[in-house]
Amino acid sequence: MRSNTEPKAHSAMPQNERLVQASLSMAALAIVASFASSCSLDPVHDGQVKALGGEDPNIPAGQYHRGGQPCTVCHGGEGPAKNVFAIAGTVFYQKYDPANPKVPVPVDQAFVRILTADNANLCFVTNCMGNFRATPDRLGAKGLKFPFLVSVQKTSGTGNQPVVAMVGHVGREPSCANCHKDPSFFDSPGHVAVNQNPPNSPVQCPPAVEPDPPLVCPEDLF
Amino acid sequence: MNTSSDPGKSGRTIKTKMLMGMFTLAVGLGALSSATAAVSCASVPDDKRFTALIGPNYPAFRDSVDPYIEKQCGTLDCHGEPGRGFRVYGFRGLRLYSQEAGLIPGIQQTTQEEINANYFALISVEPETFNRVMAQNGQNADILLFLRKAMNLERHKGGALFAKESAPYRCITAWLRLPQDPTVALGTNDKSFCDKAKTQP
Repeated sequence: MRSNTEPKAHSAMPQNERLVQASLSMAALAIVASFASSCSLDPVHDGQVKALGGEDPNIPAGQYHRGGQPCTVCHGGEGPAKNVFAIAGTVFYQKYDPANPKVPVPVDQAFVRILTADNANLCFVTNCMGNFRATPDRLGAKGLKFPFLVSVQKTSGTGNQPVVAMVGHVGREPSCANCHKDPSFFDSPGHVAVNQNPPNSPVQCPPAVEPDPPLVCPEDLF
Repeated sequence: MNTSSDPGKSGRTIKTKMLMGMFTLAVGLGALSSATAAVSCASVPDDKRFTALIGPNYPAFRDSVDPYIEKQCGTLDCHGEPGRGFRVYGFRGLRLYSQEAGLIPGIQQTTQEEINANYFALISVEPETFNRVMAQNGQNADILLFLRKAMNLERHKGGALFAKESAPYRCITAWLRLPQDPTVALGTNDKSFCDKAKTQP
């Protein structure tokens, strides 16, 4: 009878159609979920990450990678890097290697000292790629109180231990390279640099053996 | 047969009602968006319109206020960024770029042009409000956005820089109370607040 069969045509969907609909819903959900988990939904942040470009194939991702780039773009909590840095940067020599005058030479074992707004003294040592970083747990419960003053020191065997201090303070930027961009221009003083010549023989990087325990500043030894 | 109980017909009626509802919704949304577009369209900018500013005392700004603002606000990660509305130039951060003059080396002292640019940037953050304050001889300066931001009374990404009655606050408000006459200087007491503000870490 028509009156009995027609409502079924509207309300009851064939089994295979239901299956297709359910599968499509699941697929759509999976696409949305994967997009949300893999990408930042902030287009500005996404653009900043993309602007950094790909990894150098000669340097694997890790503490030696992407020297001179603004670390906290990826390591600032918004991803895509998993470990978060409270502050990070790269230190270079002021003078370039004459053999490679376009690429600044990183400073191995420079001391980066910070005097925070609450008078805490912090010191970090750069690795052979000139990179240094501080994770929030390294800074403790007090964290990093902005604004802070920064200085960089590269000790040498000759007893010459010049300290280069930044003339201004850091207001809120956790990545050195967001202000210290190359080339220097009206809006940037250029990369963070110690006013010394690069060593005659290049430092092997990454080192054959990782320093164990990790290097610390002289004031943190005791 | 009772036609009202015909499920086929009732199904069609529901479908028709739904279509009508959707049509009404679409027309409503269209009308709403047209109305929104009509009221949100900007008129053509009038290049003849301007706001005349009552400029506060310039020499006092140059000698006493600018050094503090440069040091406190003008770092490259704050108001020393080129994209800022209130943009601060100085030897510690952003340099004023001129195609004719070229680039000023980073360590060269802040130039006169940069101090001028800082002065105009500060007084034109909200020109009408600034005029209102200046028309009252610098009284009621707390309504100024740049002071409210610095005290974190308005949301300020850089947080609170000073409190009311602190040395920088007293320095800036004393400058705003000063007559425009460039021969009039800050009093000794007010100047001491500016000196203190300049040298505080």
